[in-house]
Order: sequence, then structure tokens, then C-alpha cells
Amino acid sequence: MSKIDPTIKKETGYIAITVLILSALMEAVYLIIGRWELGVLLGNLLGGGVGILNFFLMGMGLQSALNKDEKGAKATVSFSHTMRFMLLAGVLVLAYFVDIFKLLPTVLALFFPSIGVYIKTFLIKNKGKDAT
Amino acid sequence: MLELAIGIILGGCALGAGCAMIAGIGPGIGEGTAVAAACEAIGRQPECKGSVTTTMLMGCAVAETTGLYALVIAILLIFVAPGRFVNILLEAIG
Repeated sequence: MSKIDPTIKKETGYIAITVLILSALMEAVYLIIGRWELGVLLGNLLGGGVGILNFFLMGMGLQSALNKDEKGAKATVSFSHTMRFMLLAGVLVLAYFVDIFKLLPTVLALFFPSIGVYIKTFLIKNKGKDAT
Repeated sequence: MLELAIGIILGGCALGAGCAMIAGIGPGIGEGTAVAAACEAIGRQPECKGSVTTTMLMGCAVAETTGLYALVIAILLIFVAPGRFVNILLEAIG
């Protein structure tokens, strides 16, 4: 197995922290509206965990694609994309069919990494504006 | 007649899920383009590998969100929507 790029480790760490914060926020909202139950927490853990894993696997796929020629890179990215999509579809189906997971928190938690990326992009943009 | 209506509902949901998954093509193309551009950039300036990888990762993650939306819609159309629509139909015809 190839060595993990420090950039991927750093970004995955950032995404994991963002997912943790957003998960805590979502649990708090569920508590406030009085609809919290164990399924919400388990769905959140499942969705958040798979979201982080998906981001990490994407990073690993892109890292290995960067070290290949054009044809190999294309094949690696397409394989990684298909496998990750199948993983996400499997998680959604699992959350739907297994009663201990609630579907909505699982789906929401899957979007947390993307929200983290949007937040980071927003912060970088603002930093750039402040510097100028 | 009822069977036909239920069949149309199920077919429509399956067709809708398939159409939703067309959005899955976009992230694939986007990721491929991002990786190709990153390969080129790293080839030109190897010292910028770290920042190029970060930007590419973030770009790919953003591009993939669209695919995830489509996936969620497709899963809902396949598993959740048919039951709801059939219930609505049964309630409507009494």
C-alpha cells in the first residue's frame, strides 16, 4: 500500500473535525425539538463515519491517480468514483432497511464533509479579501 | 386497472431514479478534469504539489456533492416514493 500524502491526512483531519462539530450541532437540534432517539445518533455516526471515509478514499484515489499516466489516472479515478458511489448507495439502503438507523440523520451526515469544504472555501475567500 | 396504475407509479419512480442518476456522470467528468489539470500543474511546478493537491481535493469534494444529491434522490424514488404514491392512489379511489 502506498504512503498516505500528508496533505490528505491534514484535509481528512479537518473534515473529521467539521463533521464532529456539525454532528454535535445536529444532535443538539434534535434534542431541542424533542425528536432525539438512539436511531438519530446511530444514523449520524453511520453517515458521518462513511462521509469521512468517502473523503479519505477519494483522496487516496486521487493520490494514486496523480502518480500514473493519463490512461491509468482516468481508470483509477473512474474506479474509485464507482466504488465510493456504491459504498454510499449501500449505506443509504442500509439506513433505510435497518430500523436502528434513522434515514434523515444518515443522509444529512453524509453531506457534512461537503459543508465543511464549503466553509473552508468561504473562509479562504474571506482571508484573501482581508489581505487585499 | 388498479394494477396498471400501480405499475405506472413503480415504472415512473424507477425511470425518475434512473434520470436522477444522470447527474452522477457530471462529478466523474469533473473529477477527471481536475486530476488532469492537477497532473499538468504538478508536472510544471513540482514544488507546489501540496497546495495543488489541497485545491484538487476540495474541488473534487465539491463536485461530488451533486452526485450525492442525485444518489439520495434516486434512493428515495426507489424505496420511499412508490409506497407513498400507492397509498395516495388507494386513498383517492377509496
